[in-house]
Amino acid sequence: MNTESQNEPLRILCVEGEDKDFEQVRSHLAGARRVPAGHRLERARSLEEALRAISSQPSGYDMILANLSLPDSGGEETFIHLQKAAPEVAVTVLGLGDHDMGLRLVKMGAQEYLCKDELTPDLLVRAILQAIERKRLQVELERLNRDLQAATENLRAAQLHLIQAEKLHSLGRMAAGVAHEVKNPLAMIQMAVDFFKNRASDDDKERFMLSAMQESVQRATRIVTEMQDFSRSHDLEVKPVDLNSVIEKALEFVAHELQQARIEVVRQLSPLPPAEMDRQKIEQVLINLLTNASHAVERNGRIKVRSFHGTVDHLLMHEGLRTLEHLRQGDEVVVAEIRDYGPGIPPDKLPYVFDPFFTTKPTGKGTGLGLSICKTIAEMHGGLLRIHNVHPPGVRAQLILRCSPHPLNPDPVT
Amino acid sequence: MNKSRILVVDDEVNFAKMLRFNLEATGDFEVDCIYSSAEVVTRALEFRPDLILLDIVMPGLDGGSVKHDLEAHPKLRQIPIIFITALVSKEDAEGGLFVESGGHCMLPKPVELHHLIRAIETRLASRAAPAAS
Repeated sequence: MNTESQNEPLRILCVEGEDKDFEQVRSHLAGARRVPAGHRLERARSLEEALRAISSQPSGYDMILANLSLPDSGGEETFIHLQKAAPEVAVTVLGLGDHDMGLRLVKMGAQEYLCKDELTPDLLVRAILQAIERKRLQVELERLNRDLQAATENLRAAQLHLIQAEKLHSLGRMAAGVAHEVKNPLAMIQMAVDFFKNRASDDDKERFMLSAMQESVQRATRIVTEMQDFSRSHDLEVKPVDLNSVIEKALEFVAHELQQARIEVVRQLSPLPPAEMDRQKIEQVLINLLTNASHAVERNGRIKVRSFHGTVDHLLMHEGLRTLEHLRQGDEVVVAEIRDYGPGIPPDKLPYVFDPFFTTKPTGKGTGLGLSICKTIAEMHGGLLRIHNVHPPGVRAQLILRCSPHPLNPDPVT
Repeated sequence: MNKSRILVVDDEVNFAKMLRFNLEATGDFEVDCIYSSAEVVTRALEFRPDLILLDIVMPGLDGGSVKHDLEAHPKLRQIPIIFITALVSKEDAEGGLFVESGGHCMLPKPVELHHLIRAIETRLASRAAPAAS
């Protein structure tokens, strides 16, 4: 729609089946004292013709003047079709004086209802110019409204995020206190278990009881210790590190477990530039991901460990990483990817994998704190942890970290 | 064979007593307990332990301050200390059972008896041998 320029002729479509009524419009426009600087008046004799004309105009009309009684359509229905075909074009109806209908049409979005018998040239021109301006303002208002809605949604999401972060922080603080207090009673139970274990007994039930108690203490200790880890101070000791070296350390750590389960590990590590990271914490993340992968494939399975680097744009295109949230276009990143060929995560559980205490493992096997800690660690580095189901079936976990700024170019983003 | 003398320092009275029962049951240790960090230096001078098991979080002087006081005393500074504490997290403990801290060891609570005994024996053995650098 031409809205700004006074130099462009106004393009007006008159939808009118009656020749004499069209002639009236044409001559009024020609005879008005203040004619819009050039105008082009086109005619459609039927709704079908009008819709064809609308769809074939690349830049659209500025105005549609419509008689709603057409050979192939009548009344409000005509208006509805026209508006749907040209939602951003001002539509003014020319009628015979049915003012109730006129009011209904305006409520539905018509700019005005003009009575043919009361039309004068100046009135028509004024009506046209004002309708165009009103429509322009309406469209602008709707656009601003949509922007506002989007902004409100973003704000709401950010607020929820903040509330969640604050909850986690309080939970963390509480967890630290609870963990410490619980460990003392656990220590005493352990002492008691040790005491009775040493009084050798042939009674199977006694031995079973003690063994179960021992396992329970170990299990409770694991959970409580993970809670402590979760709440630990969030200080990072960040240095430029080759991510591959951390991957190798993590693989070393789980080597025994993987070997025991006869799990094959395929490595595809590319040379990487240094990235800023707290080596110990990233190793913790990778060990966690590797352990999850090994549990997923169980015996005789396969895991692929890959590393690569690139800029965010390049990776978005070639590695299918889609949006990378806080990482910006042009950021250089390194990625550690662990892919298992297990059954994958049930799709209904996938949205919850990063929730603390959520686990898909059988009772007692995992505490579920692992991935939420890993995600926190990744985000503390300004990076990301992503978990996806892939095909052939399995899970792909990607740890994405920013590269260190180049010594000669301190800010790679500029 | 002479039993090794162990001094247990923990404000958690029951825990300290249970530790004593378990260590003495092995037949290798003579154990004394105190429940207040304020008494450590006095008791250590009387009991002359070969090793001290020390809790960290205690009312009054914490384990770190007690260690400091012991090291300040010429007759006590050579006594090896093993800290047993609920403060140690999995990260710290994961590297093995001990975390070396200023020449002393840390064990996480809860601790299984056989781990504790191995730690004690290791510390006593390294004390008996001339100290390696």
